[in-house]
Formats: sequence, structure tokens, C-alpha cells
Amino acid sequence: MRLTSSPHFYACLYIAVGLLAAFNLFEIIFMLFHKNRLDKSEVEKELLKHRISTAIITVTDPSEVLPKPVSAMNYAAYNEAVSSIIESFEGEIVERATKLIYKFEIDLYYKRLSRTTIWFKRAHAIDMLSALKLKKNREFFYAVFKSEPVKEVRYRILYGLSRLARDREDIYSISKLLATLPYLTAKYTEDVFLNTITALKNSGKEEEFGFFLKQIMTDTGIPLKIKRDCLSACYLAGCERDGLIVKEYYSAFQNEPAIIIACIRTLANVDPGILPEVLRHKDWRVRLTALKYAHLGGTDLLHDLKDLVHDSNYHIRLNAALALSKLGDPGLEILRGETASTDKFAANAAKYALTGAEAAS
Amino acid sequence: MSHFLVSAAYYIQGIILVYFLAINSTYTLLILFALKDIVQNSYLSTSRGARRLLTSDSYYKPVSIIVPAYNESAVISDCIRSLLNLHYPEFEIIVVNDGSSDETIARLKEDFKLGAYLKPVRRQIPHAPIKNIYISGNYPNLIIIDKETGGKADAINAGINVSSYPIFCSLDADSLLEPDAILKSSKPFIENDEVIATGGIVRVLNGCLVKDGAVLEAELPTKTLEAIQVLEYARAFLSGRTGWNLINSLLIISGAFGVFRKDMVVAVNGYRKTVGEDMDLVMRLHRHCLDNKIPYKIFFVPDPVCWTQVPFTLTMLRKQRNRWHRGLLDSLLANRSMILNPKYGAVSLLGVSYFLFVEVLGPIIELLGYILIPVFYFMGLLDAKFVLLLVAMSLLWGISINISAIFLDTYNFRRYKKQKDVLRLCLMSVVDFLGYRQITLYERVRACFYFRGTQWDTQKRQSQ
Amino acid sequence: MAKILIVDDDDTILLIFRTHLSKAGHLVETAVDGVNALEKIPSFKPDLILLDINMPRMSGFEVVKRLKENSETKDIPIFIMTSLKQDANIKKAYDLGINEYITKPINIEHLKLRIDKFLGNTCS
Repeated sequence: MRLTSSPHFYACLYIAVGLLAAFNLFEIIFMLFHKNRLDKSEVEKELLKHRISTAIITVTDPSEVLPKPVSAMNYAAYNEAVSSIIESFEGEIVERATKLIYKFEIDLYYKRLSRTTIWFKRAHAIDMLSALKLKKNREFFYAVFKSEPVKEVRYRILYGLSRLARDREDIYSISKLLATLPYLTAKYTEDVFLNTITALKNSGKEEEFGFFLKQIMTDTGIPLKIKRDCLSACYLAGCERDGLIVKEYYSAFQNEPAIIIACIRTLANVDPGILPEVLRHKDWRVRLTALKYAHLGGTDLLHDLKDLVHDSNYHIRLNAALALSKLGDPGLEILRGETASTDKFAANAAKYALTGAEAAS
Repeated sequence: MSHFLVSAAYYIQGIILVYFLAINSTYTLLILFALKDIVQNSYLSTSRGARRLLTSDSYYKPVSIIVPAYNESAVISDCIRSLLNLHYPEFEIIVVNDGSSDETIARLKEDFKLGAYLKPVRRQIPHAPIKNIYISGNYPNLIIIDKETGGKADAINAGINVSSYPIFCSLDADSLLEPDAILKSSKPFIENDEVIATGGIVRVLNGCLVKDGAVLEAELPTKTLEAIQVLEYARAFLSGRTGWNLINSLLIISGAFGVFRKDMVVAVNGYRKTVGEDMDLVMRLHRHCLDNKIPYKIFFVPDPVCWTQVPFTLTMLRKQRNRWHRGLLDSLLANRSMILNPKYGAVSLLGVSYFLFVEVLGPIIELLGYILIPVFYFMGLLDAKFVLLLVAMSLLWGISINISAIFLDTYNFRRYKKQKDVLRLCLMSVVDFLGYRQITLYERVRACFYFRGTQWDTQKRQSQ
Repeated sequence: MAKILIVDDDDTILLIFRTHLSKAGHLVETAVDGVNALEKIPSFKPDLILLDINMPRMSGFEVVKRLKENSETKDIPIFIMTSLKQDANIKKAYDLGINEYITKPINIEHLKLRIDKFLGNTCS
């Protein structure tokens, strides 16, 4: 009553209606304009990338035939083209690409960007820099890590650092910095160390990782999970020569199932003698991992495997049966016997493993 | 007597006005949140990031894709073929034939050389009995479950029991996944151990150019009814879901495309046999984690896309909306401990309250408004100028929300290449208020009164 | 002088291979994924295929399988290019019948020499 009789009320309403109508119109026009601009910009970017790649292959100094980057889109084009090349190739074309980056100061551009106030823009800049794998960025990454407050960006910085790992000192610093951050995921940590191994392999210093593993074995400043992930990374990268060090870990960490599981994968190939022990380990996850490699242990394990087919855990039964199926005729004999067992679960597991084996042969 | 009527009218007007302001403000707020989230996403996730999952031996988690199917023999083989083309290192496809009365199983046996599947199944969650399980001869990652009818929730539960992988994706049989959809929607699970569920965006397949089970060209369907739904989905997903990411209160992950961690879903005993099984599951996941103090994240990833068929006749649309609303009501009722409960924090006080006040009570009040405002006007209790201005304001505000949704879509995703399509969508923003909105509104209010029915209606199939 | 088909989903890589190998005197054709490659092979009849494993729509392994199953294409030599390092994957590839396994990052000069040597051996 009082509201609607005030003259200002209607004025407000009129203004509100007018503003809304204007806003709608403005939004539509802006949207169409923006879309056009983005479409055009994308086409230009693809053309530029094509030009950059062609220049890098055909000309010794590509900076002579290419335009200097000006807009964000230009820089992105250079970054994407060059990082594709750096990711998949090595040799002279990578050197040309790297020189191009330095000549056009593309790394400086992203280093500047990595100081903006908005955290996800910083994260993006760090990602772009990591993709370039420039060895000169190492100090920069360490410096930025110290001053960076947001942890999402710090994880990315460490990832970028891991691709530039030079020797065991570098990897050790990375692991110490990782230890200061909350644990993210196993896969992230494994990936970080896998990057370090790849970087070492590319410079012919693969053995440095082994030394690093030995160094952190007794280091209490490095959490257990990280040690476990280092061992996993070692396995995933196919580092057989580190078998001895892994064996030392196995002996030293008998109380830590996580470490034992990580060790089994490497040791099963190198030293199958550990299999009988781990098959009887009290932690079911250790037994399960052991079962996945039990077929490397030979016929000595047949008896243990037969018992495990009757285990109360579904995964153990299944994998025990599968392991038996890979141990040739003696294993298959046991499985055939088990299909008649009164333990229905064991019988089903045995049947499944048998059909799998018969299908394969 | 008339004095009582007049003051009653003012109070009712006041309530309607307050509701109108509150609801539109909420939508606008959600859109602003969504804008921030989308901008952030555009910087953080690059296609190179997704490639990391592919070029590595271990940087991924294998996924089981569960497709419940009831009388889908026309589309099921195409669906499977498009799934087999998915770009992902390790996955299995589990099609659950929920006691179809057509020749779904015969078709599948013929197309995929089915043989018996003997791996023992762990019955972790209950469901209707399984008759047979098959595995394809030429595609060892394709498994078909033949079971007795139990409904969609029941079928997915069966799929969960048979699945071998730690993550599963529930997908509708008439939907098409983009080849990198699983890549993008499973990436959060690898980067963060707390993530237990993610949802991707569902887009309208009607009108698009499809070849070999993949969408080549996204185009607006010619029929207005279908074109309006494109707008509606953009609004519902981009502004309606993304906005909740900021406060970790996402309550719906579409039944058409959702990716979950199996262990958590098993912990809440799988899907419940109900009409709105998708929302119900997410609410129970929130409750479980909050009750047991498990740190968790459930969020919407706007990047991965699932294309789905939308109803193309008014009858089909009304039935669908009726079903959706009954599902919403059922989920809220079954999880009523989450309503205005400070123990559950933002999820309850903001998320569930939004659904209660905006999605359930909102339509009722809006319908009342449509009826009462003209009544009051004719009774002389309202000023013509006031009514017209109010209507103009609500219309323009609503249109601006629609256009903002289209803007969010074109800002980052730009699926609709043609300018003409974008303009037509803007036109749809207006047409939305000229009848479409009112029809869905009416259907939703009707659903409140017909709450007891729980049939999962079959939808007429549109061949491509 | 040989006909080489290169299959990879990255445009930059295709461009680099095409330019480099064309300059060396080979006739080069490119394909962006497995389906595309299988379409081009019957008409192009390559003497050698360079194939990336990780591609959309059809993985490299699937392409190799299809090629080996077809009597017309089963003798075309295949080099696999990939960043996967695990023994299991390498073994899988050799079991399928590939000729050489090249891990990324690739040194394009060395690759050219390997191709020449391989083709030289098979041509005599």
C-alpha cells in the first residue's frame, strides 16, 4: 500500500525494465561478436601452428621466417606447436624449436604470466612452461615454488620440475618439496617420478634413480607413501637394474604392506624366491599382489595356490585360480580337481580359470 | 469482509513478489558462479592434460560402462558400436537387458557373437535375479547381462555387481557418448582421491548429424519443441549444475551420464528402486560421507558430453516432466533428514533448500501467481501499470537468464557453429515464456498430486 | 623411393614426418586415425606403415590386427610409434606381428636411416 503509492517506486520499476531490456540486447550482440571473434581466432591459430611446424623442419633458423608472437593466441600457437615437437621428437629439430622459443622470448612471456594475481591463470602459465621442457627453467620453478601460496599451482610446479630432473640431487629436492605438500594421489606422485626417470633416461643417466632410491630408504623426512610411489614408478618405467635396491627395501620394510606390495612387482621378475613368503603374508592385499605374479614362481607354489583357492576373499580365490591356470598341466590338473570341490566358491573360480586357459590354447 | 480480502491480497502479492525476486536472484547467482567455474576450467584443463591419460601405461583408472536396456533393440547395437569406439585405455561395456519383451538379446547374440561368461559374480548389492551373462566373442570387453525385469535402478545394480573395475559410468541406451567423454570425466578421479562422483553435460541429439555412432555436426532441430529443450538443457546444466561446484553441493548427476566410484556406491547399497534414482543416489552419497566424516567431492564437469534423445511430442514431454518431478519429490521425501539440517552444512541449507523452495514450491507459487494476479486485477486490487511492469520485468529477467545460459555455452564450448542457430536459440529464450514454461509448470504441479505412480515409461524410439 | 603411410592423430607430427620423409625422396600419405588409415590403404598400397598406438576411434593395436587379418594387407611391414614403455605392451605389439617398435621421443634422422635400411633389406 505504502510501497505502490510512492512515485519513486514506479520510476524504479521503469528503470529496471529498461535496464533489463538493454542488457538482453547487449548480451545477444556481445555473444555473437565474441563467438565470431573466437571462431576466427581459432582458424588463425591452426594456420599459425602449421606455419611454425613447417618452418622448424625446413629452415635452420625458423625465427627468420616467422612472425613474432603478439597476442595470447599467438603465444598459445607457438607453445602448442613446439611442445608437440618436444614431446615426440629429439635431435636437431628439438634444438631448433628450443632456440625459437628463446629467440621470441616465449618463455619470458609465460614467466610473466605466472605472476598474475588469479591462481588458475598462474596454474595455466606453469602448465605451458612445463610443456616446453626447457632446462633453463629449473631455477625459475624452484623460485616460484617457494613464493607460491596456492597448493594446486604448487603441484603443477613440481610436475614441471620433474620433467627437468638432472640427477639424484634434483630428484631428492623434488621429493622433499613433495613431502611438504598434502599427499595428492598415488597416480600423481608416480607420474612425477616417472617423469624424472624419463628425463634421466633421455640424458643417459638412468642409474641415478637407483642411487636416489637408496638415499631415501632410510630418510624419515620422506613419507612412506612417497617411497612406495617411487618404487612403483621404478617398476612402471621398466628399471630392472634396480632390482637389488628394491630387494633391500623389501627386507627393510617388512612391517609395511604398502612397500611390500610395491616391491613384489619388480622382485617377482628378478627374484621369485620371495613369492612363497608373500603368498602367506597376513595382509590380504599383499597376498593378492603376490598372486598376480605367482605364475613366475614355478611349480613349488602349487600347494600354496591350491589352499588359496579356498580363501574367504573373492579376489584371492579368483587370482589363485588364474595363477594355477598359467602354471601348465600340473596347475590345470589341480583346477580340474577343484571344480568338483564342495566349496562352491572355489569350484566356480576354478571353472572360470579353466575355461580361460582352454580358450587361450 | 472486503478489508480482510484486501489485506489478504496484499500479503499474497507480497509472497509472490518475494518468491519471484528470490528465485530469479538464485538463478542469476548460479549463472555467475557457473561463469567463474567455466572460466577457471578453460584455463586449468587443456586437451594435453587429457592426453596424459592416453599416452601413459598407468595414469588412468579402468572404467565399467553400464547400459541398462529395456526394449531398446532398435538402438542398442548402434549404442554399443559407438561405445566400442571410445578413446580410453581400458574399459568394459556391460549392457543389462532388463527383461525386455522384444528381441534385444537375439539381436545382440547375432551382432556380437555372444558366448557364456563364467567369471563368478559378487553379489554386493541386491537386485532381481540374473538369468544369464554373456561375453562377446569378438569384443572381449563387451558383457551382456540378461536378467528379469526390475527397473532401471535394479538393472544398474546388477551391472555394478558384475563389473570388474573401480569406476563405473551409468549411461542410457539411447544416448551417444563423445569419444573423449570418459577420458574427461574420469580424469578428476585420478587427480584427487576424494572425488566420488562426477557428472558431465547432456546435450540434445535431435537434429544433429550423426555418422558411425558419432556426432559430426551439432545443429538445432527444426521443431520448436525440440529446439526449446536445447535451451533448457543448456540452462539446466551449465547454469544449474556448474554453479553448485563451488560449494560442493551438487545434488543431481544425470541418469543419462554419470561417473561414480564403485566402492562408495556399494557402501550406500547401490541404486534404490525409485523413479528419481539418479538424484536419490547422489543425495545418499552426500549423507553417507557427511555422516561418516569422509572427505569427498561430487562435482559437475562441463567438458565431457553425452548426446541424448529428447521427447519430440507434447505427450512424451509431459510424461517425462511428470516423471522427473515425481522423482524429485520421492528423493526429497526419502532423504528428508537432509532438509534444513545444519548437520549437513551447505548441502542441506543451500542445495536441498534450493530444490525444495525453488523447484518444488516455486512452480506452485508461480502457478498461483498466474491465477491470482489477473483475479486481483479484475477485483480492482491491483494497478494495471504495476501488473504490466511486473510482468515485463519477470519476462525480461527470465529471458536474460536464458540468454546468459546460451552465452555460457558459446563462450567456451561453441558447439553450434552456425550464427543462425545461436540467434534461433535466443528467439527460443523468448518463446520459452510463451507457453512452454507454463506447460512444464503445470505438469510439475500435477505431479505433486499424482505422486504415487512409479512406472518407468517407455519412450518412442526415433531412428536416425 | 618408397610409399610410406603415416598414421597419427597429431597434425604437427604428421606434418613433420611428411616433410622430412618427402625430402628424403619417399612418397608420403598421412591418415589421422585408424579408420582413415584403413580407408586409404587399399588405394595407396604403401610399402611401409608408421603407426601411432594411441589414436581416437580405433587404437593402433586394433589397426594392426585388422591389417594382419586381411590377406591383401598382411604383408605390409608396420613400425609402431608410441610413448608406452611397459614390456607387456611391447610384447603385445610383437605378438600381433609388427616389425619394429619405436618409442617416443623419436630422433627423426635415425628413424630415416632405419627406414632406409629396412626397405633396402626387403627390396633385395
